Amino acid sequence: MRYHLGMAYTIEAQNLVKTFTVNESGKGLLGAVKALFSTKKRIVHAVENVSFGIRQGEFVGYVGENGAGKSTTIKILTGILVPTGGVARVNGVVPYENRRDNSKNIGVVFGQRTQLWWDLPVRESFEILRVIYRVSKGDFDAMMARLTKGLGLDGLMEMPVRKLSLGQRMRCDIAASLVHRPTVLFLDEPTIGLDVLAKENIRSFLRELNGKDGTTIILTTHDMNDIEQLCKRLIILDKGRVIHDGPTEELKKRFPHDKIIEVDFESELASLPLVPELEPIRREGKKMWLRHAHDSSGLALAIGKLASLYPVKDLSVREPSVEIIIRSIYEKTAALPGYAPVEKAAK
Amino acid sequence: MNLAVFGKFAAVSFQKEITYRFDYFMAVLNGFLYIFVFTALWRALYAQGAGAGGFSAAGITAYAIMAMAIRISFSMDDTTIAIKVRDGSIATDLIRPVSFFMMNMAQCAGFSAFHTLARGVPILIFSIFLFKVDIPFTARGTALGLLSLVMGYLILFMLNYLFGLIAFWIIEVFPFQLMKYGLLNLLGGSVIPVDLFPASMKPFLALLPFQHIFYTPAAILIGHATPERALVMLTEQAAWVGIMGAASLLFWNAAKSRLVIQGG
Amino acid sequence: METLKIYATLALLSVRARMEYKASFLLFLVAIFFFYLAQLGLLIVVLARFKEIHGWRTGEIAFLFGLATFSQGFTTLFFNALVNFDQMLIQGEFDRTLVRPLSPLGQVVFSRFEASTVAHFFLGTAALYYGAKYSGIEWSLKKDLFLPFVIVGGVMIQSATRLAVSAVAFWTLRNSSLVHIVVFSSREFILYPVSIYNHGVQFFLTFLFPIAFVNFYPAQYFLDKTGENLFHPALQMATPLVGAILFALSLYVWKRGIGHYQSSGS
Ligand SMILES: Nc1ncnc2c1ncn2[C@@H]1O[C@H](COP(=O)(O)OP(=O)(O)OP(=O)(O)O)[C@@H](O)[C@H]1O
Ligand SMILES: [Mg+2]
Repeated sequence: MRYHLGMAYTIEAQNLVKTFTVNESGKGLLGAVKALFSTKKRIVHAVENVSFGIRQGEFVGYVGENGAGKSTTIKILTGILVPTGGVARVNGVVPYENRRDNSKNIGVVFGQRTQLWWDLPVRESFEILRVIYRVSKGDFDAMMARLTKGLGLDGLMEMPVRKLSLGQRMRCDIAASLVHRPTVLFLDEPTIGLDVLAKENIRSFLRELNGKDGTTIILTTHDMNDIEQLCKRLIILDKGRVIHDGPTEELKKRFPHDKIIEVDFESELASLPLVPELEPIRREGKKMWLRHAHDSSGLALAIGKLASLYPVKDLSVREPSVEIIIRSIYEKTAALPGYAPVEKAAK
Repeated sequence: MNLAVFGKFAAVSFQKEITYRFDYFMAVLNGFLYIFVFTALWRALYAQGAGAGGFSAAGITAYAIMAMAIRISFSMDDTTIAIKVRDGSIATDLIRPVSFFMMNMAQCAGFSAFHTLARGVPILIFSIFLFKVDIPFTARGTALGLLSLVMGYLILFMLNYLFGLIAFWIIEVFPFQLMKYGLLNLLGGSVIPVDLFPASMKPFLALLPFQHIFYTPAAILIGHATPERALVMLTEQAAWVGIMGAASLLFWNAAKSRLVIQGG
Repeated sequence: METLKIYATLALLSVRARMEYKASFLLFLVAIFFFYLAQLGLLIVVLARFKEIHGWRTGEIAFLFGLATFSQGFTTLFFNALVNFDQMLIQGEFDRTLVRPLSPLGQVVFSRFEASTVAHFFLGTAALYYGAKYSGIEWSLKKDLFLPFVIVGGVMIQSATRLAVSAVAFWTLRNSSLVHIVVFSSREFILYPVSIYNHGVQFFLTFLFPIAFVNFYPAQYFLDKTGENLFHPALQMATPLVGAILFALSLYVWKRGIGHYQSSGS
């Protein structure tokens, strides 16, 4: 699944590098005054040597912490930014060199901001897009009928965009990115800020789009449920570098016999030195997630020990979710491949 | 609102203004452009007929520079209220335990303080040397002038505040702002001193606060207004501060009671 | 051709969208009218007192005002969206024009056609008519033919300056102050005959920031004002040429700007 040169990929990234130069303004009033006449520059390495290849019809999750470089990669692939180094191709077109050719093939949604015309009724935005993409009336009507049904746009078409709720707007935005039937769809946080129902609605539509139409989809998100439910493949980015690329299922298999124990303690605990077989992988106030990496017979014993030695309030045992696994990858508590013992000492 | 809080708000907006140095240099240039235009205009006009409005050719140049420096110093961001109403962030202001009016004034003061120190004063000093104008300095005149300056500032602030509050009724306030700029340009005295208006218009001008924003402080500061005249003007100005203050209070109460938060 | 049709449709849609809020549209119209009337008021006050400005009488000043306002009307009609262009960049709105198969500039321009400029046209026409009548222009075939070229040239000059300064945002991100100077303050310069300024400013307005060609030089030609030839009499005929050159230059700057934006991200 890793990138191999010369294979037929729909989307390919070859050693992509993107650095930004940021002007720093000084601290405080004095610093600000000084900044009037001089600037300090800082280099930000947003994307460092990213390579991957994605085939027609794949549904790929592109995840990473805030600032990992996801949006930057998407901007390069959609032709908005020119990379500092490396090459990108989408359908064989270099996006930033042939922006227009590329744009006919792709649909883009930036969840953070709308591509619709803020003051116009939704219908007008679609009409404008129809004109811009030179979609024939017939094709347009057919596609709109599908989008209206699939995304539940009935009743929204006459509303001005600024009056839509976030979930309604996002559905319209996704529809807007598909008016010209692109074969590749880039979704940058399309579920941000949505409630469970709205997310579910969008997910089932995307599943169908990918399954039936074979649209290639790249999705960035911070919601691991999106990933688990939609993406067969996962690319994890950390500080601009790809640290994992493979099937989502495979990630789970990395922890075949593991169990995750979610514990609510009475008080906040730093570490659990008395139960070394339970390894803390995440901590949130009085809550802790522990990994038990041995066979299940030891599990009951370990839990018993935990409950008797520490002030446990509540406890449940789970299969490791993708979220937990990814989080443990971010936090470097489990190095890949396989996993090493906890490096991070408790605070 | 106590002084420390006022100072904090003012400092924040002062600092915000300073971060954009490109804007700063452009704004300095803009100030000089206006001074170039109007000094040239007056030079041409007073070559034809000196003495109009009681100004000598040198006097009108001094006036043009002073009035423009005041206008630059009085720079304010008059869009904040409208923007806050539109995006709903006005709610956060309303739950703060400080007066909305004072908070806005603090922010405006910080903004204007920056433009006074960084633009108004340097442009004034530079222009005085460049155009070799002579501004008679008397302690009394300067004191009265500074007092007038403060009142002029208050009037302009409250004018902007009132126009900003329109946003509570009508989302799109820009047309109103545009009309305000038109009136301010024409009647405020930053371009044409009130003395040059036809005599028939002067009673009408007295019904509006505009001339007390730039004209009154400028005329007093350059010594164009006689000491007796200056006192009269100051009194009128003070009356306008009172009127505008009352209007601000009334208008604000009305606005608060019909607050509909937009967007969200 | 196809592309032109697309732009026409976009422009139409944006006008229709503007009309959806009729009250707001009318309010805008009134406000713009009011604003320019106030500006005219300044001139009227000055002229009432001094009768003429540097040898230009009331009718002639009105002609200057008319030329400036009329060409500004067209400029605003097309390029109004550029006034807030830096905000489009800052808020990432511009990005989406880059992922569509149409020129980004075309999208920016035609998505916000500003119909409220009828106020400019109305005032501009009135001022031109009044100015021509009261300054006693002697019309000739040559002048009749030249007038549309002067208008187009003036529009190109103003559009070019707007486009070029908007493009500066690709480098500086915030450029509202510069736009303010070029779009609004610069108008202040050409409300009066350029001959009132000292040589440095005249040179600046003729060769560096040549907005004197929008109204001053062509007005000299139409009004047969021979008394104050600045630099060279040929300049009176140069408006269309200056417009074409500036416009081409500004398009180049804009293109370079997009290139810079794509590599710097800001
Ligand atoms: N135009 C820019 N100028 C300077 N720095 C930038 C620019 N765009 C992004 N960056 C920086 O590059 C890094 C990567 O940003 P990017 O937006 O790609 O992250 P991301 O993975 O999308 O994060 P998030 O999950 O928060 O959306 C960040 O450190 C960001 O601050
Ligand atoms: Mg992002």
